[in-house]
Amino acid sequence: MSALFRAEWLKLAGNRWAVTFLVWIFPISALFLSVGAVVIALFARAGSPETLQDMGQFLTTWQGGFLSAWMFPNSEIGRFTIIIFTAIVFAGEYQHGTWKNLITRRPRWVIMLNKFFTLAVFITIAFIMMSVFVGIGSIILAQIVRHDMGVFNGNTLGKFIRDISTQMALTLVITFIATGYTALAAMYTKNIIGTIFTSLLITLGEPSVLLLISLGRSLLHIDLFPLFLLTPTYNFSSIRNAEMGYETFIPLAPEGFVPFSVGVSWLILIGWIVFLIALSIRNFIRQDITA
Amino acid sequence: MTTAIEMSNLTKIYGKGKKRVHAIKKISLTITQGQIYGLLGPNGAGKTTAMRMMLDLIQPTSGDVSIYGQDVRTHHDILRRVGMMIEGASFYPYLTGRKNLILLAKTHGLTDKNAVNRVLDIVKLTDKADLRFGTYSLGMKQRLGLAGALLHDPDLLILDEPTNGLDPNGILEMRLLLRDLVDNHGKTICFSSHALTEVEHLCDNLAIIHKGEIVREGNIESLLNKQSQLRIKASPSEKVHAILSAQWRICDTTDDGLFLEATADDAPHIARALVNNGLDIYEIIPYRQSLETFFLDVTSGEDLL
Repeated sequence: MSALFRAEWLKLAGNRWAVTFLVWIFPISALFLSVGAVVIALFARAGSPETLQDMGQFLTTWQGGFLSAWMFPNSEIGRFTIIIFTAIVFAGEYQHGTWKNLITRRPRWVIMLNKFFTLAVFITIAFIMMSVFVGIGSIILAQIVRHDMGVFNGNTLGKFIRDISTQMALTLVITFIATGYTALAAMYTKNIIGTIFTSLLITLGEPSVLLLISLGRSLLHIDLFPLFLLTPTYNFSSIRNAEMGYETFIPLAPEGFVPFSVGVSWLILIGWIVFLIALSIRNFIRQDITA
Repeated sequence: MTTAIEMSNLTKIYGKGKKRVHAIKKISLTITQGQIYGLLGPNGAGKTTAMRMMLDLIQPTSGDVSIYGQDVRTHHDILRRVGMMIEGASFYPYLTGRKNLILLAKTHGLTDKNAVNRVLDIVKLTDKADLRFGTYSLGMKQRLGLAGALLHDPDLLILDEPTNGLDPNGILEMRLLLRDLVDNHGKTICFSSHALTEVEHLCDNLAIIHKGEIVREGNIESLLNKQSQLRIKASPSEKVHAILSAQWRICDTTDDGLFLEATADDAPHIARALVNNGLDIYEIIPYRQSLETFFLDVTSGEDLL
């Protein structure tokens, strides 16, 4: 299994254009921005105290730098970027006609599972690197501009580990769900552009369940609201908002509606992951590989 | 003798309703270990579909395929003993030839670190191994495809048009390599080709597939000899025609003589019949039908691949 993982990794890393502009661009940009900010701060220390003060305003606590990097993959744009990358990886196998090389060597379910796992690890590692670059950059910058980054003790470290684990888990969830959508889309469209388009359409289509609910209420007088509560979009934003201490805005919620707890939202997201992986494997096993 | 591939009553139907296409109709064949078996057929006859079913790439509508006695659908691991190249070599265009092979070796779980260099050497691609696959010519791609098929030293090779895109030297080298793999390394090869002379030179046995059915199958020599003819030059030609057509089937009449469906064993009887009727004989020559004419006969002359 580890050899299969390394093979998939080699394939992902070897697709230089896609991986550079859709994955590595984030840690690379974080590194350049951090180094740039440190260099500017060093110059400013010599003759521009106002600039130093301005720069200090962007800094929060020592945890803030590490955590802020995860805003990107867990945002809508981040989701789309991940979808485009996973679409290139999945649909590429159809477009290049390379499935046949793999499925005559290993069982289909092993190959599909390995693809999901490798993609999730690959993308998460890229964002861990981004988080490390931004975090360390912020700490160095804080030393130069003499910004107080708060206390570092067992309590703050414990909270930091919990927070960053949540952010990483959310990125993993997004990647798995995006991979599930693209795997299924790739099986039907069998080309990269079609897969990207279909996967984005599915992702964008999730919130449109609200439109169905609205139509159901006004035309058929039935309440389809629970459908929305089962979408990854709702549960994802529910968790993200809970982490930030915000209340999740739920349009069309019936009066007296009590939102799901964070635990339930996690369970629903895990359910989606299991469902999408199982459906992808089932369809892949039954599919005729004719390319 | 060990059976390498066995197909029984294999059927593949694509589509539903009006779009229903019967790609393969109840094909049954057996390929024994240690031979080169050719699949020959016109365009769209079902050769590649049959090969895909051998490799569990597509599922048969009905029937079974087994490799070394194991059903490929229920015993997928048996395919680890098979090397394949179907519808050209397919690799990642952004990786070099070498990296593509390394990737296949890892996917297969190979531990032999020299395997990649060994096969690159066999297909004579060592000096081009570090170029990206996307920059390869068709011939180089085919060679890399064969390298991929040989990488894990399989017992059975399933090759779809392996010489496609190769220059005459490359075709000859490929032919010698495939022969060597069978004769000296005990491999079995099942391959399809549109080059009839290549099939004639290389195959021990062949099956001609036409409209999804096997129309002829067997040892290539006996198939061609079965259809052998005698060319007879004798006069007067009208009388010759009348006498011989009473006992043998006349295939053709040309300026070169009369072509009779008969073997060399029939020659004394023919000579006697003609001489007893007072006719003059100039030539009785065995005429061995080429695979090309044999093929065109059994497929009603439809275009090849």
